[in-house]
Amino acid sequence: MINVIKMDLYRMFKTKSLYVVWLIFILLIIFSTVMIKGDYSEDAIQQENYQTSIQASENENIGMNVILPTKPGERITVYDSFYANVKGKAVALFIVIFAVIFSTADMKSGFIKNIGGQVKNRISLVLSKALILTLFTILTMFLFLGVQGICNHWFFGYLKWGPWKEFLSYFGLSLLLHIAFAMIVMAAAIIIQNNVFSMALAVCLCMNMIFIIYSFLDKVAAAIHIKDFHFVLYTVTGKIAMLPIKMNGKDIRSAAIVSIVYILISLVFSSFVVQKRDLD
Amino acid sequence: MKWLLSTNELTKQFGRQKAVNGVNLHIKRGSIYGFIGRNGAGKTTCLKMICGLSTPTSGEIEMFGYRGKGLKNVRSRIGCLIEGPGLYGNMNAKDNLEIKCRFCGIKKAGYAEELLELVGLHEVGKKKTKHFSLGMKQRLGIALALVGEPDLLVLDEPINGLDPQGIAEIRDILIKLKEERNMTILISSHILEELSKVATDYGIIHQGTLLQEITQEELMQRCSERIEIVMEHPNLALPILDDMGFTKYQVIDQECIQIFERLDESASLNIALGKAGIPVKELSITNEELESYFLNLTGGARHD
Repeated sequence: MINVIKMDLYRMFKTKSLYVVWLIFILLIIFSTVMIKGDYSEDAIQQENYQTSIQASENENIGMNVILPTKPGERITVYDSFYANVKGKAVALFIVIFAVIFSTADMKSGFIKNIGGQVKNRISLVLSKALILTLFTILTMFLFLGVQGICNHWFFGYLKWGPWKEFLSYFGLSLLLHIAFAMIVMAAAIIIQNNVFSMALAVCLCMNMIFIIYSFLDKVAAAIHIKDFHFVLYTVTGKIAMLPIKMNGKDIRSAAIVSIVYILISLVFSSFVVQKRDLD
Repeated sequence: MKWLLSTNELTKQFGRQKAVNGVNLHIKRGSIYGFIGRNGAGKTTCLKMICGLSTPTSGEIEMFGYRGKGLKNVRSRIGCLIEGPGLYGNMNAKDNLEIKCRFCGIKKAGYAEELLELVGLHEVGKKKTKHFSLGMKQRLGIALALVGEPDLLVLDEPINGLDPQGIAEIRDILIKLKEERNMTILISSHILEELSKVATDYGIIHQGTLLQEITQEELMQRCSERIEIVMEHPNLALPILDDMGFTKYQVIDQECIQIFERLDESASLNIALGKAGIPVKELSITNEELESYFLNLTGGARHD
């Protein structure tokens, strides 16, 4: 198992797409900060953004958007910028792109045939990928944090991190939710074995394009007399988008439980498939 | 342990079709076992099961004295190249090898370079493998299979698509591995002529069924020049052959004897049989090309 992890770790840092994804991600943060600065300088627009960000915690919309939750007149904190980008699922999008590329690279290239028969338990191949994607998610989140801090300093002329305790809670929980999302996408990519479909599915999840399915499930729940059931509240992407900037204990607990459940389901399914499937 | 690898009624079924049907392979330690069959005969499926990439529908594999769940413990002693080399195209040859080295827990400095040298790829530098020629890819695939010094090397059609020089290079590598490392090699191909230059034993598979296992000596004997006598009662001719001092002969069936020595004495043999009153229908000096031997065994030149 340790050797499989070492192998995947080496592969991750040798994969060009890792650096491409990070480079584009950094450019997006810079672009996003520039756009935020533009909006922030217009009081009327920022007032509207502020209202929208409060409402967006209760409703989920189709598409991606980065809306600053800062009250007009207040100073923009790194927490505000971080929250806006996480909520808009910009970070999630980059994580899943890499998750798909990394998870399927060994199958797509056929390299898995060099090792698939020699590994004592194929589950270790899945667990190793899961660990590496977890590491990637952690590194990406910290990269995001660092770059966002630098951008705030550059573009706004000051660096204010925001309330540390709340920021740390939100950062930790976002990290867990993004790891869960990466696991879901990894499992889908391993099971589907097709980059295009896996990527399309991941992007659809980020963009809430499968909201129609959630609505259908809500109606099914209503039909069988389950009151006030909203499937989106039990999804990882739903949690990423609807987690409020000021979280209470219930928000933290439910997001953590949803993340852990999805991580476990993803690992169990993908491990089962890899264990049973012939390697072609 | 008589065999390094043997299979017992190994079968793989896809839907209703049996891709491999009750195959019993027997591979000796230190041999180069040529696994011959036409395209779609079931060679790759069989090799995949041996390498643990595919699960048999039924039957059993015994390797290094282990079978069943115990095979997990010895599969790390196999190096394989199945259905073409699996390489990360955006990485260079050394990086591909380093990945496998980490998987095998090999930390020795310069190990990847040694393997590249062995397969003649030591001068490729930073060139990405997606820009490699087919021959270079095949050689790197063999190098990957060699990581960890496997006891059994399984190569599926390693000479497919190679030019004559590339084929010769692969052949040299295989001979070197057998001679220097006493490695057991299982190599599949549909070109018997090429395999015959390296193999010590053969298994011939057709439509999922193993038709024959044969040693190099037996194959050469069957394909070598010989006197072939067709007559009604071959047993009557045997005392004559003995009297004339022939020792290397074989009664093939109820009408045919083959003699593998003193081919220039066919005329005197014919006279002796005539004198003894043994009617000879046909006496000829004949031989069989390796390919025609294979084609005859697998049902002629037609592809069904």
